Amino acid sequence: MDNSPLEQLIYQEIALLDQQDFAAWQQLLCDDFHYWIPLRHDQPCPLRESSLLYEDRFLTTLRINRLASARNFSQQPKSRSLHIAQRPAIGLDPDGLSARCLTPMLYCEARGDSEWHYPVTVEHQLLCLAGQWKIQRKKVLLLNPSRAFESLQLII
Amino acid sequence: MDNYFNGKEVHRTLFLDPSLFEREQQQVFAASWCYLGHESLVPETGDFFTADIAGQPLAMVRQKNGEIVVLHNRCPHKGVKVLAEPQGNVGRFIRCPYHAWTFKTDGQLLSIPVKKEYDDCDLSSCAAHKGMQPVAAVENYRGFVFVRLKEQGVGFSEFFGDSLSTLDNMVMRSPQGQLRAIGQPLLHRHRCNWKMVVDNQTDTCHPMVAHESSAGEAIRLWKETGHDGQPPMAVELFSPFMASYEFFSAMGIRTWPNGHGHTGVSNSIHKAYSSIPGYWELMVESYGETQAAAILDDTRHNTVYFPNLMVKGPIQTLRVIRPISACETVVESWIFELVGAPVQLLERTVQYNNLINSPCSMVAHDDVEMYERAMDGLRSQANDWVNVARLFEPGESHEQTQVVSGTSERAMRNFYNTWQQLMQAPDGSTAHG
Repeated sequence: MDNSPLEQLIYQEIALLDQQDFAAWQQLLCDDFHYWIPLRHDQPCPLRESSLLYEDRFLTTLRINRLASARNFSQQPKSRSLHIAQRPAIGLDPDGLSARCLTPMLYCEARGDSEWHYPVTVEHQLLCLAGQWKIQRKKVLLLNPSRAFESLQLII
Repeated sequence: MDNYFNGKEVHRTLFLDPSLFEREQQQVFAASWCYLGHESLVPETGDFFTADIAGQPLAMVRQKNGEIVVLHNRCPHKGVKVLAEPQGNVGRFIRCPYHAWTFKTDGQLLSIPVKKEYDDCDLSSCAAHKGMQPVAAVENYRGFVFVRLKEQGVGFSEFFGDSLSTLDNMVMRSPQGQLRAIGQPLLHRHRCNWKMVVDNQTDTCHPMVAHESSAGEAIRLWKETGHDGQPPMAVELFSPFMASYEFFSAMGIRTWPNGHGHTGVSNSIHKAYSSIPGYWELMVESYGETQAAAILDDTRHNTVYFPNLMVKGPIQTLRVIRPISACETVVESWIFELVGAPVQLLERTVQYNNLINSPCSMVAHDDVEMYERAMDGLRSQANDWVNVARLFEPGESHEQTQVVSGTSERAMRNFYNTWQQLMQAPDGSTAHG
């Protein structure tokens, strides 16, 4: 199978995130989408130990709504992001309806005079629903997830 | 100037001045009983856990007899920090990686390679001969290990007094009376002075304002999605932040001597969490119905232990507010499992920690923005004072335990009063009592 639609999905995703077009970004997500940033390498489970982030659609929607809130003082001034991505490594499952993608990225976030750079590996679990590839799970592994971070406000 | 706290106001230099920061490391932190870590981090012989207190590297090490010894984490030879990792096991003895000096697990010098070359130097007259020095004042209170770095000073019981009841309650929420620290702490770096974070722990007039964009939006979104019945755990955890002034006022604040205090005397934002199936029965089995009810009915919100520990018993989390410099703080957020309780309690605690204490937490973003803006605003020379006078009572004293309105800033005044006493004490060791 031609993997380019899957690569395009990843590139489209990060472009939408950097444009902060969250309405269009959410169209790429499955209803049971989960977004996870583990607190350590090889963390087996998000439920029984702390994570930097573990969100379902409800929480991700809340995060997006908050970013637009007039009373969101930590977004005055607003943050911007840039995802600098390598080409994804794609592992297609035998049925051709699901895939796992690993994408090394440098995620950059800036606000006011501050700028932060995070080397990450993003693992996407993708699902083909009615001919359309969507993001079911997204796991962001930071190079050093256990260190002390300043506030990280946007979506990696 | 040495009058930084006038009873109702705190001088802005308290938050900005690097030389005050250096002084408070010695006068405040080294003279107080500071939380180092939980004993469950070092369950086996030789296990160690490292942390800094008062800017000094320390390590607690589990001994063969089960006791915990706290060592200054420095080789007596050339000063190398011997135990470099946050946690681990030393093996049968501790070995410095630089010149292979070895030490017993209690820090005593065990061996030096080619030791005869020290024969003529009278090594016993040198500081190096003492090995890795243990901290003399260590207290393991129900698993919580505290140290006082100054050899002389206030005793543990005198320092904490009745405030230990918060730790008692947290421990007794386990049907087996035992807590276990789970995983690594979340570490959130703030560009602010550590005292702003401590101050905020008993500030009950900010949540409904500063957290409107997160907690308020959570309530609105849940209503909008139109579901009936049980809201998701996130809504249950977030929504109490939007409680009214009246709610926070009625929940009460208790202050104890020596700067400790807590919000949530008769009620708290942790009160209305849904019950976890099977937990009540296990508690009744262990404690009987009356005591189990009393334990679970005590839902203290935030307990501040002077100088830099905050404990949330009902949700089994604690924060260590670590000062890095006058303008930099790392907040360490730990979670605990109630040994013998249903695992859903741990799952709720995990969610709470992720949602409230992570560097990615929306609620934390709200708070940190205020601290950092305060650091910026306090550079103004138009007004030297930070105001903590809400519900000040003329002639108020901080020598006794008090219960006051939950919107009072008395717990902050109590904290700054102790801070000032320690800073004014000749060696920081005689101010308590």
